[in-house]
Amino acid sequence: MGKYLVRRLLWVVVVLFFVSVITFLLAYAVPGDPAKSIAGVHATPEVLERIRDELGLNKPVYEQYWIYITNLLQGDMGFSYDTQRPVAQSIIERFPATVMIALFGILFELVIGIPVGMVSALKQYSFRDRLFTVLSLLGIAAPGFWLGMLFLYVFAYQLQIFPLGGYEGWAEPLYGVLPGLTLGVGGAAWYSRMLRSSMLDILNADYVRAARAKGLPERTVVWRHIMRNSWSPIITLLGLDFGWYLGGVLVIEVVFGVPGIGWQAWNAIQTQDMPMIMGTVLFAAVLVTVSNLVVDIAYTWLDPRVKYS
Amino acid sequence: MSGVLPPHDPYAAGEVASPAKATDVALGGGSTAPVGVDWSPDALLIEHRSTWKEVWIRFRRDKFAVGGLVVVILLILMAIFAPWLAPHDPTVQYDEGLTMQGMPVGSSSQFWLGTDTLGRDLLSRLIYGARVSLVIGVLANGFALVLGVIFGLTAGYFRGWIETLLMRMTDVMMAFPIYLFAIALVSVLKPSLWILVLVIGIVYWTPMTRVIHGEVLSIREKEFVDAARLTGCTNARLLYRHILPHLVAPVIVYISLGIATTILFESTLSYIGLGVQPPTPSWGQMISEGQPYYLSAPHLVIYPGLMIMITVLAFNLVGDGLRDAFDPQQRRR
Repeated sequence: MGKYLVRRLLWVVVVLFFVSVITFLLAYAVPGDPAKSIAGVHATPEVLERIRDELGLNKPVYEQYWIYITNLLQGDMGFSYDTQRPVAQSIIERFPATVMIALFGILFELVIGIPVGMVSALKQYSFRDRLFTVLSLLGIAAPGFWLGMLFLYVFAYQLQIFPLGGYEGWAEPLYGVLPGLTLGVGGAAWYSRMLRSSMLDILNADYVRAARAKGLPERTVVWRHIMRNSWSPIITLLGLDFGWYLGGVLVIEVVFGVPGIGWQAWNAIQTQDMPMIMGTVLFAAVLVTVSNLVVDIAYTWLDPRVKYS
Repeated sequence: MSGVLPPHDPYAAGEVASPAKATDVALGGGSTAPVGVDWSPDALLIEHRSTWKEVWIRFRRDKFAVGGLVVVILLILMAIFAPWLAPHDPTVQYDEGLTMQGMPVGSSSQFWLGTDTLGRDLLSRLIYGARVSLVIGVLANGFALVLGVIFGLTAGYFRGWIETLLMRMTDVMMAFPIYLFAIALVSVLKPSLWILVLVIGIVYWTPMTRVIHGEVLSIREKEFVDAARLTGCTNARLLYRHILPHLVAPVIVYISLGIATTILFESTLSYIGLGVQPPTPSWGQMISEGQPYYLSAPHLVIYPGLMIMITVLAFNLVGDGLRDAFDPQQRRR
């Protein structure tokens, strides 16, 4: 276990190194002059030269990368061209809004996806199973931003249960429900399909038949014998969802006007604010990598048959 | 292409199998003729069905999949014949397409589904929108396929350090917030049809490479590959004649599912303004144009969204149906 952890952690470092190289090259390849972006179009050549000197823009690529990575390791992601504020600080400030809708998303995903998947598998080919199959196929096919707008129209505009977008901090969780539901519906569709097929594989296993044959109550068979062995794909999906949500959350935040890191990245893209774009991509990459690590460790803990390799 | 067989087929080594097995293959697929009655080559020839025919027979039984295929064909026809089908020019802004207050008009005999916020015919724009989605879906997957086949084949067949390098590269790509990265990349490179194809292709080459790598790993261990090598096949011939044909089935399945995902992604990019630029109509862009009006004129948002959903659903159904048809052992329904 210890050896496995060390190797796994080393791999995280390797991945993050490559991620930093790719984001750096992305910014490096951008047409345009960063000095001009900072100083504005009316800056004199002397000012531009001084900014280039300060940022090391006259140095060769590898030296620039070195400056970038040493700053990065000290938590310095540079300054936004747009607001002139530190990128790291802006991301930290905006992060709670993103976390709130991501948590609602995961909540809805589990609350909808798990019961639907269980019913579909336990009552295979029943009316409910077929209905859920059709609904989840539709849920997978519907674009998230469009679904979000439909929810806004029905639940916020017509029924007036939820606010019409926006964000008022964690004290007002109602603002997170509809964005979370939008994220969760798509996720729940995948979840229920995965859970259904992994449960169907297990339903006919010998040990399940044995459990039934010795007269265990159905509840015990389902929860202790079937479900325990169906968790693995669910856990994997849960880990991957962090990545999906951080990519998908951008457009959901735009639809609902939630000022999270996705919304911020979206504004940065509009103004070609490279430090902010790089910072957000990198930040999201760290989250994805760490959640993958957690999933891998949880996996071996949940299912001891998985070897640490 | 007579030697083409799906992977995982128990008779994958059919060319060299015993006569008993050959009969099983020939009599499979619901024939009622008793096994082993007539061993003459003629009898086998009469019963012989090509793999593709078998796949088609299994595919045809799946009502969802056939429905999906019909919709896909209709969408392709709609995209090709858009200029003849559309009642109006999708980019013309009609004076009578807006009310006195500048609002879009509802459905009428002139504009069957009403007009959009600039007084353009909604139905015509929906029909033309299929072009962007399908072209990007097909081209981006084609690009990802080329990369995936080259990298997957190389990694799976030659193994060694090149496999380690390529597969570790896909690991890094998988750990990357790839959608965010793609969005940043498109915005930096300035959106156009070809940039979208390029970037989406770059995003999708990883899963494609992994699928092909996995298939090649299992195929290269089969006896017929050893046999071919023993007869002195060159690497190139072995790859082209003996391994590549076995990749056709998983690739077709993967592409049809991939097109669905790509269309969804393209619509998201269009929605945030990073898709094909106006006036070329695309469904995602139509939704974002209709957004400011969606409380008063929700149909501007609902129709293009429905088009995206139907298209994605149809490709998914075809992909699922093909997977089951190619691989009845792994059927999960």
